[in-house]
Amino acid sequence: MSWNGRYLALLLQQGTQTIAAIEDRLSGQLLRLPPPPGARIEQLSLAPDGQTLALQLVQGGQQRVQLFDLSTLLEPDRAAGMRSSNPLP
Amino acid sequence: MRARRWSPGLLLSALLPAMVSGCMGTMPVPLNGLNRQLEQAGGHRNPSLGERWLAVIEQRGGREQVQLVDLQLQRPVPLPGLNRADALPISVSVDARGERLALVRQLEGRSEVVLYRRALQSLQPIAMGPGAIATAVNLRADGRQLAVQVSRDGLWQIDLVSLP
Repeated sequence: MSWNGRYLALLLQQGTQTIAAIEDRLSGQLLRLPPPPGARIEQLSLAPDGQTLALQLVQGGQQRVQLFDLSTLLEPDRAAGMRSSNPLP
Repeated sequence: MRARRWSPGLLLSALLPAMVSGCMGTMPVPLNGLNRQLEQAGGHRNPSLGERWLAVIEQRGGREQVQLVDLQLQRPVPLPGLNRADALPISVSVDARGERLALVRQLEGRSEVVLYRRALQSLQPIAMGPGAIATAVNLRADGRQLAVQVSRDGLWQIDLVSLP
């Protein structure tokens, strides 16, 4: 879950495939992220600001972790009181 | 004025780039540099993200150990006193600032939960009560609360632990 609970990252079973999904609780939208070809998603972690996603994948019998940038897809969900613009000079 | 006719093929070729770029715009972008580094270092599991931190269990040379990666500097940072050769890490979680790590590990056949503070390089055991076998941890982003998945009397339960 992101800092203020806006984004919820979850694994969904779709038929035989497990996909990652991020629910934006503010807009009600669900962002679906299928696994890379030939890989199965086992676990996930969303950064507190919602800007990075880590997936634990199994591919060819090997567990590995892949990171994804979500900054073009999701607005940041920053901690309360955190400055979001540059300070004045 | 003459109306322009579009054949289906022409229409498709005109729209395809826009359709493809539209699809690309809705997909997350892999962090290729970091992903390559992780892949070269061996197998990894149990990722936990802070804002600029990734805690992960690294599998290398038949051993598993907790690693904390600074995503901005793209390199692991030392965790003195956390990893033990005789302990098997099971689950790890990091707070947003990369200051606190919670860990479930198996030591001498028993599971235990510990809290590691990087600034102090200290390791504090978290008591889980009798009959509880911890299997996973999740630290709140501010590092002040810990959720522990435990097996107790054959039931899966979540214990919440407040941290000073």
